[in-house]
Amino acid sequence: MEQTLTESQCGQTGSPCEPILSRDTLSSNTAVNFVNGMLPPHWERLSEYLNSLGNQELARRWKKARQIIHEHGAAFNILTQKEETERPWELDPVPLPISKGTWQTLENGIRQRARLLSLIYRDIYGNQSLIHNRQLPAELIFANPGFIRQCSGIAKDTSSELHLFSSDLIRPANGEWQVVSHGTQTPAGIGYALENRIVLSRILPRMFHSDKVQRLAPFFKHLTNSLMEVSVQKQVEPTIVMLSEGPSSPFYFEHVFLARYLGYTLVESSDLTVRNNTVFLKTLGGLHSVDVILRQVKDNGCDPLIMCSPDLTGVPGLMQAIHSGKVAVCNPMGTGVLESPGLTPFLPGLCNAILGEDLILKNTDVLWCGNPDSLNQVIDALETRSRSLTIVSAFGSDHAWAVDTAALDRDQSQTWIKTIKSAPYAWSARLPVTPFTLPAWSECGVLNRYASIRMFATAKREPETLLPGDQEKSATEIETAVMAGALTRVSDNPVAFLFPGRQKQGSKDTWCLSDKAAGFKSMLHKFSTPYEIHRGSDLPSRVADNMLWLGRYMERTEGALRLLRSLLSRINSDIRLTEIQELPFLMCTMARMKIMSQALCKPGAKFTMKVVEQEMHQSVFNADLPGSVLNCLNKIKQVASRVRDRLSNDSWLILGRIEKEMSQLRPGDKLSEIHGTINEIILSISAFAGLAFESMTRGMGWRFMDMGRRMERAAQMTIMLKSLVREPKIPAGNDLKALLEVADSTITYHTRYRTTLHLESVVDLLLIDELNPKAVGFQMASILAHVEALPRKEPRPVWSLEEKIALKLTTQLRLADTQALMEKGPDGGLPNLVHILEQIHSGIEQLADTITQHYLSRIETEKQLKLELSRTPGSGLMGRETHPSEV
Amino acid sequence: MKYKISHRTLYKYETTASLSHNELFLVPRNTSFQTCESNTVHLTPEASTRSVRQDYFGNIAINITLETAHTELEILATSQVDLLPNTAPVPSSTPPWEQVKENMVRFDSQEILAAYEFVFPSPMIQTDPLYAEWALDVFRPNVPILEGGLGLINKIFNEFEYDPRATTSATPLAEAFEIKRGVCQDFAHIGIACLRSLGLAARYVSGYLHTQPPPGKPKLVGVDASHAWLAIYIPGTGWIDLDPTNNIIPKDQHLTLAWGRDYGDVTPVRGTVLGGGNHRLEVAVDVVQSQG
Repeated sequence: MEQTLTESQCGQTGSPCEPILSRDTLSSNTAVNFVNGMLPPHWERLSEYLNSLGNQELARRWKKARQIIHEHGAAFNILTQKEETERPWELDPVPLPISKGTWQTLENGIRQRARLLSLIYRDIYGNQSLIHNRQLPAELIFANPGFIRQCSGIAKDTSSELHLFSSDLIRPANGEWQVVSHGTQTPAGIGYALENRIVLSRILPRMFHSDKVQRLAPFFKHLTNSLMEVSVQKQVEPTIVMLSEGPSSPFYFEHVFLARYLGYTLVESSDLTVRNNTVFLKTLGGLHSVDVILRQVKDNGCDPLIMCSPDLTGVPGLMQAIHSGKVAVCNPMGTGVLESPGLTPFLPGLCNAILGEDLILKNTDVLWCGNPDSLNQVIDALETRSRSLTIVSAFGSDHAWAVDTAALDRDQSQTWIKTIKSAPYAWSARLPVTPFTLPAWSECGVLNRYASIRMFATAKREPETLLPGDQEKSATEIETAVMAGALTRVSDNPVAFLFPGRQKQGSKDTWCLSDKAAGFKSMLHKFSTPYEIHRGSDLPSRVADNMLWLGRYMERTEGALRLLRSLLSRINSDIRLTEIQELPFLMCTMARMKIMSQALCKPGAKFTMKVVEQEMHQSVFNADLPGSVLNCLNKIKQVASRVRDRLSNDSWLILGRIEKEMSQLRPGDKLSEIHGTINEIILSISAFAGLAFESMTRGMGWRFMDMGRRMERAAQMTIMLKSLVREPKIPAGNDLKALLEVADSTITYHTRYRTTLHLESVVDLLLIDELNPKAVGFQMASILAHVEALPRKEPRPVWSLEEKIALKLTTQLRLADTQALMEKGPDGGLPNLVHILEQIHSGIEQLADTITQHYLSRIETEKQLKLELSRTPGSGLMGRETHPSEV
Repeated sequence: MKYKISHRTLYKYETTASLSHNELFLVPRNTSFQTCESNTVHLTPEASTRSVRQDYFGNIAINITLETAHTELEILATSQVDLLPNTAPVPSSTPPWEQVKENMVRFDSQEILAAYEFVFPSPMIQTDPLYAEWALDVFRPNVPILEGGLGLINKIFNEFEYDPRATTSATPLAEAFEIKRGVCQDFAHIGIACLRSLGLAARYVSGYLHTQPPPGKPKLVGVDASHAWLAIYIPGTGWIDLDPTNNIIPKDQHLTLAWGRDYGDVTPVRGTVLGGGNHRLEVAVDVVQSQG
């Protein structure tokens, strides 16, 4: 049943001469209404243009389009398993054209609904006159889990309207457009609609020039204006953030995309904190107050204090901040109740009662079982099982799940009858309806698919034209702007749009045609604005923390892999094991890095082939060893997915490649097979580092990642050097050679010192040198530069603790005298060298702790306190009280 | 009768806590029988922000934020309450419960509409035909509603065992019902679940109970805890309190703090904390009769 339109499944079939949208193709689709055998003009022009391109040209352009999609974030999927939910709507290049007349009706209809629902919201959380007057059934609200009583009283002014509203519509073949559902909490899709438009305007530019397709940009302008206007505290340059659930959200891609486009900081609950009833963003520079939150988090995930369940996430105190009027949250809290399917049958009456006009767009048929007639119809459908109805919850879409009455057996039907009868008001049913079909193009050819459109509206504000008197507008005067475009979704399944589900769907751009030619200005300039240039210190602490750890894990992995590779190249050779003198040095180093078991460092440890092979396997696959390759790569994956919005697409591609290479490692592999894969991963990690160096903005994100890398590298190098002098004697030449190899410094050494290996020269090159990028000295100098650039509260010349530590370590290395370090102790060891290595190592740990405490400790989140149980026992001591019946 | 109530909630943290948000329902409501003459809620350390608002159900909610570093948080609520003896109607004179159920659906007055809200399930109390069936042997056809209500709390009193170790504040209602054990909060929830499953309006009341020491023994300080019971709505009469834990209609020893759909709406102290490591909670309640 499911057809996927991917390149991999078919070659290019359409011949160059064959029209893309033939008359036959178009007439087989119910979306196209022929008038007296003539194609309607908007379809005519579209098919003419596409046909003039031909299949081959379209395929060529489509390839380019896929590249754009990819750049925008297709690569975001790479590190997750749930690829299809990440990008729920695959685009195809044939848009849905909508004529001017039809569009006018749709636009008016959506505008009306956005106003209507805003006013219903105000009433429900206000004086509830609609319930008192029985225009709205009490059950639908009182029993509704989406009715959040803590929101009563917040719906009083302009902040209580829907700033972002969506509506799903379908048009049955030969029918009128009708509304299926509304999105009033966190409507998804404006980002996808925008992306679709950007892609299509690139590959079919002539159509936008000539065909008067209306632009989407004004909608986003209205959205931005309305968010600025709603700011309570600051009217000028309010701080607006977009609150997302983070990578766990199926719409995270869109959140990232929109936040970049609108220029808002993308935050998660843990990035925000409430103090003095004000919301603050926890950044590296300290706490920054937030004026407006554009939320992409449902009502029940916003504030753990207003919900009972202890595992709920959110920002504690947010609701109180809203009540205090110190922050505006858009959409306002509690709007989920408006998404209830049970509300649908009452909208025509409510529209007349509230707005005094008829509902412009009709609803798809919904039966609310709270109505006795509807209940009978549903029970009848279940009893006779002759009719197909889709039973859904009467309440918000969060609580929705759907079952088709035709698919139930007798027992199931009876169970449903019992369930529905016990609380009829909690259930509703949708009547079947078949949406029209549209042609969808792929390299495989053209397919007919069912379609639905999602339209969007936002509150309309024109701050510059607002006159003083205008502020006292009457309650019904809510101005709404409708996006002049939509997200068209296509599916093989006609009922896919009737209830929320995760069926695979495609998407299309939607063109509303106007008389005036659309402006030709591209919207793309916004995307190239790097986040950190104008708001460097706004970087949330959580992001900085993850960047730091991404750098550390990257470096840790590379270090482990380089050691492993050196070891492998020795094992996979014709040299006998006993002749590899550097074996104990390499393996002890790995043990100290927790890549291998600690026993290897004990004096007298045996290095038989069996031990070596076993240990090497462990170092790759053992998840219990903190430093094993598998562990390190998993950590990279975890951390990277939390900062995906901060990494370039190319970096993502490399991470994807690393994961692919990692999946080639199998526990059963022979050591010789592992060797090649490890080489590839080392190359990929180097490529990642190179990209970061070359293409990342030198903002705080980059600084923290680089600091993580430098600290890890310095720590690793001190471990290697320490393990070189682990025994009180001068290290052997083979050990030095192996160390230079692992440190990738063999060539540098030999250009400086020809062939002789001297410990003193090696120590100078790997510990003190500030030009060798592998040396500890180099790392310390870089770290010093980083900490000096971190945001600071105290003005110069006061030095921060982390600056002092970094300066001390750097200076210590600069002042070190290599000859003194080579002085032998009474036992034949090198006490001075060991001493400085230990000092540097503990200094790095201290530095890492200090930075965490100073800049990153704010990422800790609040947890729920224990609750008192009301547990007064029955005292049996109630002698004085008597049953009234006994009086 | 005047009562002095002291309700002390103490959180002890393992390490320093730096930020804490709390919502408190610790101010006794005024009712037709009860007047809250004075109330103070004292915090140690003192809160940096304190906001007072009336919630959806008319209770006083205090929202506080602490921003100073602390290892202990003490919330001490002291109230003076004047309580008149409650007069409940004669049970046999109340209307049959089926009639009340129909009245609710019709909601002829604002008052009934307001009570109608308490017919439906709430986050902690799911309705289920199971509860209705269990209660049907006391809610026989045409039984006056208050007789049914008294029968119900009597049934809970007899069939459930008070056991503070059996449940926590997070134990689902169905589980407490299954094991027939729990504390006053569970008993109130179960009574409410039964009444709502029958189509009647019932609400959760959070408050205190003035307990008497055993004969001849002095009253111990701090041994009490907060109490909970339920109330049933009778059109024309109003809300009548019922205490399933003690199997009585509260008269002059039940002091009301707040009411809502269930415990979650009126939890006396609910909060979050930043840092602090593990924490312990200690609660001490004293209710004493005062002179004058």
